[in-house]
Amino acid sequence: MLEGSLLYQLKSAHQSGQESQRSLNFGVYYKNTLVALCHALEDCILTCSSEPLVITAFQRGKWYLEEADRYAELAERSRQVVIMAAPDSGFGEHPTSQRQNVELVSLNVDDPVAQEWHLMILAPTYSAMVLCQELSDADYGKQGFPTVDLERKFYGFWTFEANLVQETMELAIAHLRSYNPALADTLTNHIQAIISTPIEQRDPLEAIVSRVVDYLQDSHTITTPTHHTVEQPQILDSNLLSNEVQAFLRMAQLTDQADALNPNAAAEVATLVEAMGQFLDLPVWQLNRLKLASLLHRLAPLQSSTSMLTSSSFGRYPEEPSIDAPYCSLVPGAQVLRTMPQLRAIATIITHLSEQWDGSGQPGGLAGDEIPLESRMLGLVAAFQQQVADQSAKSEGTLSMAECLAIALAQCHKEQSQRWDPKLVETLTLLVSGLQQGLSLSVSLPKISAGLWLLDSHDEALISRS
Amino acid sequence: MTLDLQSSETQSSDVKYLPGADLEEADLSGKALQGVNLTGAQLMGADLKHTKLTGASLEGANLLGCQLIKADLRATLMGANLMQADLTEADLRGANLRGANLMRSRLTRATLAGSFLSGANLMGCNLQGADLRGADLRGANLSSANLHGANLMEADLQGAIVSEANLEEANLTGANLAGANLAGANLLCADVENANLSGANLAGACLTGTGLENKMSKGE
Repeated sequence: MLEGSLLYQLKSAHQSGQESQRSLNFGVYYKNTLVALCHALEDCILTCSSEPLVITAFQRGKWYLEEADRYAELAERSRQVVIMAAPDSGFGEHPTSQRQNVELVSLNVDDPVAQEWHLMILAPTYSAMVLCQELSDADYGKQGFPTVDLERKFYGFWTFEANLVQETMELAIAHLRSYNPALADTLTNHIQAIISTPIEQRDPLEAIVSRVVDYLQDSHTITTPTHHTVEQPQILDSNLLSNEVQAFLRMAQLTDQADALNPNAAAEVATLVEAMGQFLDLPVWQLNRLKLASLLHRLAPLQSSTSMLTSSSFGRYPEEPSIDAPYCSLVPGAQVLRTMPQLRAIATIITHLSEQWDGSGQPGGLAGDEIPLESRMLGLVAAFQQQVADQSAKSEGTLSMAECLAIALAQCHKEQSQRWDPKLVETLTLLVSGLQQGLSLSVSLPKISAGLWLLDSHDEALISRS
Repeated sequence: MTLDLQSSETQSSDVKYLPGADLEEADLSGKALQGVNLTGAQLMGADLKHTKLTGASLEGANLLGCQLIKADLRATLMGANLMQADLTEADLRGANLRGANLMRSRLTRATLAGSFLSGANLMGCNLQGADLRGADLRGANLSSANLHGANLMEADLQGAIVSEANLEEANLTGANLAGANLAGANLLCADVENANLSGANLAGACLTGTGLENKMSKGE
């Protein structure tokens, strides 16, 4: 990592040991992936319901010139656009560069930021960021610098988290102050104005994620014969696929962060459900699928409190009949997952989370073993975990964890045979008594940047009903 | 337990005890062979896709080039020969693979959590996206293995040979790499939080994006 680069500064600020700051994990991105990702996040500006501030770093002026016509449109919808790049000829002359709300910052060639690829978007209703740095020649190792431009490799991360975007923008502003102090002041004022704008509702994230997945899918090289010069199509494709999964995981991450009382729901549910699956001796592919479903289950408006999902535009996915579930009304949060064919099984599990054992649930009115096993398990564990979090929050520390577990379990017992599968309540009881007797489960979020292991090659894609 | 192998190679109605059996190229795919004793058996090139071998003893068995895709191998495989076997998405949780030969085998997305691989030969193995949480890899040879995106949380790699291996985006949180040889390994964006790297050889290793690279160059 180049010292003085924005990526380095941000990573240092989040190094372990820095209290209150989550450490940042980086991932690897091919240029092919970054182009699609950035185009998607940029195009969301065109439908954004508020005007964003956009700060970018393009390495070289020539890369910006390739995008300059698009940036005219983006500037139209933005409060202000800042382009940082080492100047190339024509950099300042392009009509987009001349626009009133577009500012160019000509980076010195030896400025570490000139090696970086950034896109930061901050609006009252929408935020996104891609923060990357290119590999050095030495980092490429034995294979050497790639001959095909799309195979160039970068590392860093991307996110929808507004606080991180703001933090990075502030670093960028401090950096460009030495080039243009007046611009730095203007940008600081923009940020103040954005964060103090009262908002009723953020732009629907599922539409944004849908767009990201769409654009990444369109970049797959295996289905695009024109890219036959690419030497390693599988590697580029799995990088795209990994980022498609990441888009969903990052969306789920926001749901968790927005819930101050239960911010670790996804990770805790995933851990509990995995332990339960081991009690039931489920095969690993099923455990993995359950784990991914757990990490994504809050995308569906299970609890009425998370009714953030209201939009009905879910990309281009046609409404095909689901793999083996009877027809039932669509659950928006689950529907967005179907944008990715590899996640259809997960979508089915999540769709049926709100079924009830006695058949009185939604959306299919399924009863007993008709409800997919994974849906029964995840529904129970998610409700249980929510109860534990509620008890813990309500008691304000007066109840021990063991007591919170007991109260939550009692609630599940009360609803067994009506809402929950009694056999599974029994398994949960075993698990809870284990926890009360000191069984420790290590709760950890999987590394989002390497989300691919969660996708199995399970072609049968059948949901077990046993 | 009654087992029906329905295989021309094996006529025996009771296959629970088949030490040293010759099952070369046998088709045992999808069979339930829990607890079977195949110590030292010849299974070269056998088809064991989706086969359930939970609790089986395959100590010293020859599984060279076997198809073990999605097989349940929560079994004893000490010193077994699994060279060039296809173990894609196989279940090896807690399996005993001490001293086994897994050279150039395919273990893509296999689950090896809590398995015992000390002294095993995993040279040139494909372990992309494999789950190796808490695995015992002390003194194992993983040189030139592909561990891209593998989960090695809390794994014990003390004294392991990991030179020239690909650990890009791998999760090494809390892993023990004390005295491991990581010369020329690719750790691009690997997660090394709380990993123990004392006495590890990192000569020529790529540490970019790990947060370690700047520390190392400053000699911290």
